[in-house]
Amino acid sequence: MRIPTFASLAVVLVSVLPSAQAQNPGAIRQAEAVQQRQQSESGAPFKEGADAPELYAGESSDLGPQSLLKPGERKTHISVSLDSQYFYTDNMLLGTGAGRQESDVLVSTAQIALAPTGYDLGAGKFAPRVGYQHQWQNFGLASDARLTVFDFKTGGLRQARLNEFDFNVQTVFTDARWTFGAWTFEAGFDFRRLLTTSDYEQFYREYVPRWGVQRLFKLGDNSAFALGYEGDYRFTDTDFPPPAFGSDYNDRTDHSLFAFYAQSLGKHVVAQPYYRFKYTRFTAGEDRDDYLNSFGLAVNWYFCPHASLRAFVAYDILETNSALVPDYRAFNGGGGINLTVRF
Amino acid sequence: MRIKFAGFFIAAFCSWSSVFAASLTESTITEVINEVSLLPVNVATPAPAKLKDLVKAPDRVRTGAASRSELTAPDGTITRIGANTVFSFAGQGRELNLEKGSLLFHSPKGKGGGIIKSGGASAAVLGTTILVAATPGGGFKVIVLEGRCRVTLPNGKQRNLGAGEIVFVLADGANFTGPLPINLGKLVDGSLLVKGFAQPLPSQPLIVSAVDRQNARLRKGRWVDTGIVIDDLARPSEPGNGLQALDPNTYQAAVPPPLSPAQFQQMFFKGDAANGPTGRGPVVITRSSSAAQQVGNQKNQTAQPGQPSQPSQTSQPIQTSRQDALSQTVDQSQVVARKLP
Repeated sequence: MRIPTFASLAVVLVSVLPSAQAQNPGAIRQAEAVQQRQQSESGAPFKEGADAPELYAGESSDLGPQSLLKPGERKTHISVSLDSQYFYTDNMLLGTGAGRQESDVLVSTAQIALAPTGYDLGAGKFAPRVGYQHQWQNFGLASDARLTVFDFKTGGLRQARLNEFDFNVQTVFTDARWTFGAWTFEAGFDFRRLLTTSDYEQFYREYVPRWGVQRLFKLGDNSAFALGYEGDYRFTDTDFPPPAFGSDYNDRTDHSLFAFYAQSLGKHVVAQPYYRFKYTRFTAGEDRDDYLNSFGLAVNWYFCPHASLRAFVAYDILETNSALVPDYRAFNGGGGINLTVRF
Repeated sequence: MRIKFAGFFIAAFCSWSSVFAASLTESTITEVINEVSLLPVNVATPAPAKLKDLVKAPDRVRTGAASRSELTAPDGTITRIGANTVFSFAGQGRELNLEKGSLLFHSPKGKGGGIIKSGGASAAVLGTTILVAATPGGGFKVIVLEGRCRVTLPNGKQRNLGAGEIVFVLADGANFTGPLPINLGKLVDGSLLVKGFAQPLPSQPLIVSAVDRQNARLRKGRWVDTGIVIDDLARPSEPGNGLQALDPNTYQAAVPPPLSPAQFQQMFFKGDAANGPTGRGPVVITRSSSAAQQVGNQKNQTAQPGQPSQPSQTSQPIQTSRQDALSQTVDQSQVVARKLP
């Protein structure tokens, strides 16, 4: 039996495609459970509630009627996810030339959401969600590198370790997804703020309405392809903006086109190469246009129903006409673990 | 139809069971319903089976339509034979040959279980109650009523089944279907092999418990908790991989790119930028690099009108009232433009 089949790949794709930043770790998904589902669905030769035909006269009376069951969709309301990824980046400052700085990075994420199981709406399935996410970004855990920095708080130059750039991200989000056949439409809204790690002072906020559409294409029992578009507008509020700019100088709109491919590698492993082009237009500060090309590969191992491991590599190339940030190229490679429980 | 028995591979634990458990080569008939006959080897005419008859390997037991029989071994192992069935014990170990028809097999815990052979495949059973039905083409199916069962094929493939699951061994004896769930309560209620005898099975309470557990899951609408609901999987607000766990432009609000001296100088003179860009304390100052210098110079040549005024974009001394402090800590000639408009 081919496991996982297209449906499980669809699960993977649906899980990763909407992510504005490429693969989603495994919030996720639970290959073992996916395979259970596929196994029961693809392997069942009869319909739910039907009795298996007799192999010989009188079998049903001797053995008893064999009425097949179908796994029912479990109704859940809450989703809790813990995710941790540790990786190497050759450009943590997203700089260029002498501004490049390599580092190891630990990104830890905790998320809880009121996410009731989707229900039928029209010809499709509708799934709303509202939740909170907290993320910790920590740099240089295994590095003694020091950078020359100007500390605006002390008014002088000094040497700083990479972990002085640690920060936290808090996000409150709500969204809704409507899936109709191979099409998925989604709209949502995020409120996000950035905080210093040392004293939890916020220094950046953004309000993000977002929208997107994607289309899945089945290529075979063990592979699938997807194309999609995503857009958003970010109303921002930045403390202490650069001189001559207002606090909204980060206001911008993003428009992304992406292509994903998913290939199952055995029973519990799925490989996901992807490419994404993202255009960003800044609307309140500079006359600025960003063109970000991202491509990479993630391999996820769903070793138990609620947890998964992954390894990934990613490469980003940014071209911009900004005076405030440079063009850059950044390589990231590492691994992560995800635990997701629904109840 | 007589089904030829092919050679087959027996899983390690099955062999273990056979070696260390008491052999199951004979049983006593404890119930006869309608037409049941014994077919001893080298005897052409079958004899009607009676209560307390001893069935020994390799004698065969045959049942007619709407007939069934129960055999009980000295160790308490129970074999119930359904209608239109031909059955026999193997000459050694705890093996039962099902040539056609169906049977119920119950092996008490600690008695070593047993191995059901049919159509060239085997089903190893340990401490559980199962139903087995041979298919005319050579395969068979196994249904677990309580406990767990492992079915092993001659090629070594195995399936582990739980209560309420059925597996089909295909006619070639080399492949399975996936385990399929069946309604255990409905099966048991309609099964003559379970309820069609005078004495209940010793494992009847366990079967009832298994039915109750399945019914409870059915009532909750989740016979199998897959844990997967497509609609509730990853969303945009969930993290991506690497630095893309956050939107890059938002990320740069937290980790600003290194400042060029021109940008730094501008902020430094501003006076109100007490916390630096984005309110964070440290901002990296890039050091001299010919390549960076070139980048800066190139960018200078392509500066666009209408952009915020920028100071001189070439490497130059930082002219500031705090210059003394700066000069004590950094060689200003090394602070150069990395990228400037």
